[in-house]
Amino acid sequence: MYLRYRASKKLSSFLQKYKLKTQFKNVQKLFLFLLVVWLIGSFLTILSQWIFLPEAHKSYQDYLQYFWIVIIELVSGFDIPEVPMHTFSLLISIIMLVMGIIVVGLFTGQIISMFVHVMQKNEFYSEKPDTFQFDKPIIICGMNRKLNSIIKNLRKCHYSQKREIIIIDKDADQIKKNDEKYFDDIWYLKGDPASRDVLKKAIGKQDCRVIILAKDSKSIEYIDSNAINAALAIEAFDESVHTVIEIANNKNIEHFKCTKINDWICVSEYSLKLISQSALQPGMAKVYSRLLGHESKDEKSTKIYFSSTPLVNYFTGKSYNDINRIINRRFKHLDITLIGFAKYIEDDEKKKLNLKLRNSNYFIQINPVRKKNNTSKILNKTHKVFFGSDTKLNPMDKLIYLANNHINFDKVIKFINNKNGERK
Amino acid sequence: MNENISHTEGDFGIREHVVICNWSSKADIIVRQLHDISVHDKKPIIVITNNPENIPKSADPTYRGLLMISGDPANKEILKRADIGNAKTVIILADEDDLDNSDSKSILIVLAVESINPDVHIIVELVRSNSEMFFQYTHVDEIVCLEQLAERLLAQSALTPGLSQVYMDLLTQSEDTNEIYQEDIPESLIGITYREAESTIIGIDEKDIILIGFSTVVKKKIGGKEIVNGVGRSIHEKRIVINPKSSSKDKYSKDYKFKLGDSIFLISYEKPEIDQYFRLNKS
Repeated sequence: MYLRYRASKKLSSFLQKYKLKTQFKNVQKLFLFLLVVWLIGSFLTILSQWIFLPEAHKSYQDYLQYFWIVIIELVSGFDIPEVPMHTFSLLISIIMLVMGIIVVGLFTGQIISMFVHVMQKNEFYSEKPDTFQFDKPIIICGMNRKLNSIIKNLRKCHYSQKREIIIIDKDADQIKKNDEKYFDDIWYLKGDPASRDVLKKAIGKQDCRVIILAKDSKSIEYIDSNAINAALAIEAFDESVHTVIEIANNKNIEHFKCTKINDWICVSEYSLKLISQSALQPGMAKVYSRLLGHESKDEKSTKIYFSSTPLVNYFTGKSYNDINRIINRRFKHLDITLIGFAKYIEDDEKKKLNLKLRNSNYFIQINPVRKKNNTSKILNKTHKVFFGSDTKLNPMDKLIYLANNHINFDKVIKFINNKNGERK
Repeated sequence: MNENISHTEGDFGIREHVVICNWSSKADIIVRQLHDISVHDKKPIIVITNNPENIPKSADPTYRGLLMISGDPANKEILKRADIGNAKTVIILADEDDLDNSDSKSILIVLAVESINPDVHIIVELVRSNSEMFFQYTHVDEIVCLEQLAERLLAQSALTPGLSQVYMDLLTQSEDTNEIYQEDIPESLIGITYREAESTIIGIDEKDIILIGFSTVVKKKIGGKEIVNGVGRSIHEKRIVINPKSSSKDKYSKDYKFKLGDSIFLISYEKPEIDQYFRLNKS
């Protein structure tokens, strides 16, 4: 299936690269033009010869040779002098010869333009094929100086290695290719990310992720307006798309609370909070830098991951506390630290608990509080909902953990069971 | 001007305080975080800025103990007036009015601060990631680069939905949210492995804490070679290990045995004071 997808993608990309569809249409038009000129030229020559020089022809079949003569004149630019011609017929021949030069010139030009186009575009990213819908692309709307580093960070994660990255911007065709290994399978779509037509071309079949970048601008006042437009357009087009938007002005965050945009990141807010944490706890900037993907020669970075749904059967119905103990005792070979869970909350319950979640049904609980009473939902003094460590997890819930890589718990459990079976 | 903000031309005569160089529209977050109700040991804050009028006139209790000096933070005389010599931490924020030259200005401030108090803990907010290399020649303790943070956060949040909220939870200082705390290794955990300490901490029912890593002091090496100072003594640095590997082949794996001077990283709603807990438990 994957091979078929790849082959089909390659073919569409080849057609797009050489603009073969457009070229084919142009060639088609040229042929039509050639056919019309040929027929008109041939009939006019026949008519002229029949009127002015009938003695040169023995039968009606002799007139048919003019179809051949005219086509040779048109495509090769040579005259066939064997047949006696009337002056008017010669005039038509001259017109045919000129037409021939034009048609052949146009045809050759078409082919050359195709190659020139490809050669010029070689140093830029490839255009996303119009006719092929990517499976699970990551779309980056807008361009700023962080673009290349974001792509690099995306590619470092194994999740995104098989995903296409599409850059949408009005100047996206001007982004020069980067030869580093991280920059494979990157495509561009020229246009406005807020345009429905552009989004239609870009959005993939399933599980599409979108990053909307803020513009590099000195004026902070309206810096986010384009990004907000794009985010709203994407959400209106397809609600299931996971949208992350970079906000430059934290005053705009208020606008997002009423929208269905999944995630908004105001970097300066994170940065100042991180600075505060470092002031309170010296060394914290380094800890967060490690969590956010800083790697050194000696060590690979640890990141925060969410387990995939459905939660493995082995953990379903068990409490966070129990799962933590199981991981600590039975999964000793795994480099993992459980730090919380994401609880799936139905829409009705969301309303009952008055929860404002970011276009999601997941309530994120880091460090669930220990069993202090018998309820799994604990309301603290600020009336915020908390989930305790005795909360039983359902198939739709996710575990949140620190690890070097995303962990496939299904495989791990199978491996442990097989090992136990072998021992028995 | 707000009555909470004291105007003075002379020294304040305070110690162990926090100095914020440059004030940005969002710096209010820092004041609120450092003076949050959940912080037990609140330090006074001195803001040095060329634009004192931008500091909000807030009646919020978090603004109590906020002092201000008007002037250029790169000026040594101004820094001396802020008692930099006795300060605990200096935070150098990016100059919002001149983002293009902000990093160069920050270097000047760092050099001025270091010349007065080389031991003070300096945190710098950088705008461009390629400016980071220039800070190698200074003794800045921590660098928070806006560009790098944005790149990493955006990329990770796109791949892991919900991740930005996890970071927001960890970075927000409040009673309702978790933070990462660094604590000295309790006496009772010295000599035992990280794995054993992890099991012990999971078993503690009285505290909501998660052990996520540790740090230890190691000899500084570059290209496998030990670095020594002018008198031939080894230079030491802190090695931070988050989520240690389980494989015992790694020196800093879960089988690492804690020694005196190590510290541990814990996720907790409040300062864990784990040493106190173990001492009480022992007695």
